[in-house]
Amino acid sequence: MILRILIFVLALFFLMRSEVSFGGSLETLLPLKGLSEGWRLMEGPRTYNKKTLFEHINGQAELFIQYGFQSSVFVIYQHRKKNQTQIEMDLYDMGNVLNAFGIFSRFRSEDRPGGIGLDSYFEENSGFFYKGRYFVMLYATESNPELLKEWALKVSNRISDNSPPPKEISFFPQRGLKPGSLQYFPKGLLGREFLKEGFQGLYSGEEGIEGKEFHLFLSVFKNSKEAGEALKSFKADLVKRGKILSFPHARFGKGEVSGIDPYQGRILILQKGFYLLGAVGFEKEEDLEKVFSEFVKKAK
Amino acid sequence: MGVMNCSNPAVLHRAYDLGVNLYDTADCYMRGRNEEMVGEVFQGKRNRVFIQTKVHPGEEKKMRASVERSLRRLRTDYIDILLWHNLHSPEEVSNPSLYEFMTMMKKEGKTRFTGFSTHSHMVTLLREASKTNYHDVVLVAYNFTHSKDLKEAVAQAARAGIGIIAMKTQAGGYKKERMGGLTPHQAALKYILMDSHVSAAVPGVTTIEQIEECVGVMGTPLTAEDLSFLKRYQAFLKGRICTFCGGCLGECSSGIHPQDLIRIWAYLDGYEEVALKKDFFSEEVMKALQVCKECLACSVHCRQGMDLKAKLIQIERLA
Repeated sequence: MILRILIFVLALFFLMRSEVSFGGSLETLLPLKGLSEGWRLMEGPRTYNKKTLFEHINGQAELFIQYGFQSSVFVIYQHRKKNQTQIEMDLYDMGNVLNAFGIFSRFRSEDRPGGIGLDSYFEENSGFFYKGRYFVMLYATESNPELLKEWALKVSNRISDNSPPPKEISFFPQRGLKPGSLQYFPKGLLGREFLKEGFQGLYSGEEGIEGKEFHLFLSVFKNSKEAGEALKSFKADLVKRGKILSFPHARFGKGEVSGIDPYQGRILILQKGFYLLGAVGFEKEEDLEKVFSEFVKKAK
Repeated sequence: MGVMNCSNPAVLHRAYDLGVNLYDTADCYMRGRNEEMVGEVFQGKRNRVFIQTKVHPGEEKKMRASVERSLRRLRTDYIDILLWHNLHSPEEVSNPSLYEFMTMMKKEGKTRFTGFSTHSHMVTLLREASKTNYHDVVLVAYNFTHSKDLKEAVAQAARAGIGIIAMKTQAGGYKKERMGGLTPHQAALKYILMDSHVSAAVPGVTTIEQIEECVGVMGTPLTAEDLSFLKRYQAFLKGRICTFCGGCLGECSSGIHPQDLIRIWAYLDGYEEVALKKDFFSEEVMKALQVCKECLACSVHCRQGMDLKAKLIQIERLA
C-alpha cells in the first residue's frame, strides 16, 4: 500500500515537473521563467483563439483556420544588455500533426532544414518548425540563425507530442523530389474543388535542367466510392476543357486517365483505393515512368 | 480576386483568361510566397493587370525594405495599389507621417495609388478617410449583411473621391444546399457590385470553380427578377446573420457580448468543421450562454432584427 502511494506521488511529482504538451495551456510550452542569462520576457504571453487571431495576424488568420487552428500564444524575448536584440515567437496549436505539417508546408518554399522538430526552415532573421500538432514561428530583430535555432530548440524540447509525420509524405519517391516542395492542402488540391484534400510534391524531370519540372499529387478521400466519383469528375472536366489522350494499354494502373489540361499541361491520374494519384505538368513520359511506378507502389 | 489563400497558379491563369484584372495580395501572406506566385504568373502580362499589395506601419527603414521585397517578389518595378495593412484607428488613418511615406513611394514611382485596408471600426475609419485627402483607395470588408451605417460611410468615402474595394463579399462559407436553393456566392458578389459606390471586389478564391462562379456574374444584366431574387435572399438572411454592426455592444447588464458569440458561431458554422465547432464550447463560452439562458430581462436590442437571446439559446443547445 505504501509502495503504491509512493509510486503515485512520484508519478505526480514527475508529471508536474515534466514539460508536457497535452491538455495543458499553450503557455507551458514556452520558456517563461528561468530564462537563459541575459534574457528577459519583454512582452506576452498573449493567447489567441479563432475569434481573436485576426487581430494578431490580420487576414492570414483565415489560412490558419483552414488548417484547423485551435489557439496560439505569442511572446517577445529581449536581451537585457542589447535591447535591440529580440526574439518574437508564435506557437500555434493546429489540432493534429497533419495540419501542423500542412501549415508548415505552405510557408516554406525550399529546403533549409535546421534539424528542429519533425521539420524546420531557417533563414537569417526568421525560422519555423512543426512538431506533433504544433507549428512554431520565430523572428529575430537581428540576423542570427543560430540564436533562432537555440530558441526553437528550447520550445521543441518542451513539446512532448511525438506524433510521427503524416504517412502520406513517405509515399512520394525521394528521387527527383525538390527538397522542401511537399505540401498538404485541406481542400482544393491543384486548385480544383473535386480533388478536395491532398498532397503535392515538385519533381525535376531531368537533373540540372530548369523548367523540366512536374508535380506528383495524392488526393485523399473518405472511401473508394468517393475517389471513384472524383476520378469521373476529373475525366469529364478534362473532356470539357482540355483533351483526353488514349493509349493502347494502361501504363501505371487500370482505369488511368491521361490528358492535357489547358492550364497545367500533361496530366495523368489513377485511382488506388481511396486515393487518386497523379502527375501534372510533365513533358516526357520517360521522366514520369521513373518515379510514377514507385509512387503507385508506395501509396498504401 | 483575393489571392491570399490561393496556392495554385492555374487558378490565377484561369482568372486572367476570364478577364479578371485586379489581384490582391500582401507582403505577409505565406511569408511572401503569395506575392511570388502573383509575380510569376503575371510576368510578361504586367501591364494588363492591377496588383494590390500591402505594407505594415513601422519604422521607415523597415517599411521601405518591405516595399522593396514586394517589388522583387512581384517581379515588377511598380505596384498599382499599395495599402496600409489593417488600420484600426482614425489616428492611423490621419497620421501625417504615414501619408508622407506613401507620398514618397509615389514620387519614387514604386506605387501608383495608396490607401489602407480595414476589418474593424470600418464606419469610423471610412468617415475619417473622407475628411483627409490622404488615401486613394480603401479596402473594406463589405457585403450584403452589413449595416446602413457602413453603406453610408462607403458612400461618403466614394463621394470624397476614394476608390472602394470590397473584400469578404461572401460573408462566410455558406453552402448552397443550406440557402434554400439560392446560389449565395454569385448573389452576394452581385449585390456588392451593384453598389455604385464600390469600384471593385476581391472575393477570396482558391479554386478554378470558385473564380468561374464569381466571374459568372459579370456582364449579366440586372433584371427585375434578379432584384427580387436578391431581396428574397436578403429576407432569408435577415435575423439569421450578425452583421458586426456593434449596436448591441454594452447593452447586456450581465456583461455578455452577444455579437462576439454569434459572430464566431456563424463563422464556424460557415466552415462546417465539426472539430472547430466542438472547440467553440469552451468553459467561458458555456458560462456566458448559461447566463444568457437564465436571464429574465434581456436588455439587448439587435439592430438587424435578430432575436439574440433565442439565437444564443439555440447555440447553447448544440453544445
